[in-house]
Amino acid sequence: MTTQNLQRGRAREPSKPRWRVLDLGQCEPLRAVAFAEAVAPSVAQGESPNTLIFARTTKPCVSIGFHQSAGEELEPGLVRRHRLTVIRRVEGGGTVYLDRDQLFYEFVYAGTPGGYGGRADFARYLQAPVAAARSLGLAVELRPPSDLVIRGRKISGNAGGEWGGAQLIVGDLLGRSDVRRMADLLRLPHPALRPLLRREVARWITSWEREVGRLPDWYHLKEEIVGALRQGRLGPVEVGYPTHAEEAAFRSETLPRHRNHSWQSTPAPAHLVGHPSRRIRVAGPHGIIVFEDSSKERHLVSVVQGTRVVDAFSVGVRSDDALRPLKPGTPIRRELERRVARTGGFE
Amino acid sequence: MPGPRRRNLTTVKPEPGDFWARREPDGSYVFGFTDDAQGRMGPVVFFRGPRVGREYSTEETAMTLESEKCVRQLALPVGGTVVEMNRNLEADPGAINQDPYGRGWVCRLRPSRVTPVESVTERPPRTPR
Repeated sequence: MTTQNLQRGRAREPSKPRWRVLDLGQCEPLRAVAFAEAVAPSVAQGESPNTLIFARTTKPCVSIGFHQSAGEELEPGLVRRHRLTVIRRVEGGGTVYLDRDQLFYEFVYAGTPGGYGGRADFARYLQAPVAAARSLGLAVELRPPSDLVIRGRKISGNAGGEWGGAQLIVGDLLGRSDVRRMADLLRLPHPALRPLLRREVARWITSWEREVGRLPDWYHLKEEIVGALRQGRLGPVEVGYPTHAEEAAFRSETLPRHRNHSWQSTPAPAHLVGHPSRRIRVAGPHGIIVFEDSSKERHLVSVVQGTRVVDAFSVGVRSDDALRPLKPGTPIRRELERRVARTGGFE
Repeated sequence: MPGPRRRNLTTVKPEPGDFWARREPDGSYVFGFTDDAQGRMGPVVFFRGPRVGREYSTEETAMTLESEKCVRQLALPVGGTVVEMNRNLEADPGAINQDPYGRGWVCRLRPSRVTPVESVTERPPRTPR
């Protein structure tokens, strides 16, 4: 091969995209959660490089998934009492409670034409927070598609989406987890389920503090994630700032849209509205599925791991009724197990 | 309200192997995801389809779906007016995975002009509905 051919060969190699790191520091909830939506069009149009955003929120807030409805998901009394900002993000996944003890990160990148993102992208980009946590002593691993876990307990939830022509992966790493607040935020079909949900959240959600007895040094953690991004050879990385166009897009499009009632109150899919059964995923394969009994006089409650029912209860529809265990092998328990299997559980 | 539809923000433009299409006697086309496309997407847990009566171009988001914690905003493979949508998909989005050429059909579309539908879609292996 001639030198000229070698040079041609090099010229044909696709160049790796540049990465910019935006550290928004501590900021108000909408900026922390939604600033990436203002960055995405610039990334898609090549005006800004692929971008990794860091933020922590100054005030507690709740982020719901793109296809979720606040009315169906959240306990309105608690949201009002704690004056929580509810933000409907453009990524998928479930309800997340965010406060200043969590690090929020978001990858904004030009997608592959015709690609579907998903598992491969999660594995590619989440290697950075995984490697960073490992370098700081936490045995974090990726549980596909998108949870970061330590011995099966979730320390970071992640979700993906598309906006402005770019792909987004968003995640929050729990420095400290307010387990009770997380469990109490979710709307439940019966109050007796609340202690059960608190128990399951405490069982399957962990935090940096719970693992090592203290909060992470946020600055150090961010440095480690950036270092891992560099080592992952996704492309050259430099620290940058939002452009005027991105700030303007945030003020003129992102903020008004999120403050618009029609964005916030986008209805959930019709089959989920007011439905007597409810699926509450706690983390990965763990969750609670509630069905209305055929008599409509009680709820059947299953604590589920994958498709396996690990605990089962019934509870009357009156608000002061208590949970009653359903013993394995009984007809009603078997019926409940069949119904869980039909839903697919939490695979 | 500004949003993805007005701003042409769709990233995931269909590739020729993503959709199947079948011509109906009245000249409209029934569309659905191919088995290969549904396999790449993974289990679909939410689906919002195109609006019946609305005309879509291939550059705008016609439907959103969510699988494996990823929201995908998808364009139709050809532009045209949606004349029917599979409403069952909103209640049973898993049909896209379980029966992509049958219960999982997505919509029926009247192409806006002479569009080579067959060049951007696959033929279904059997009658879709």
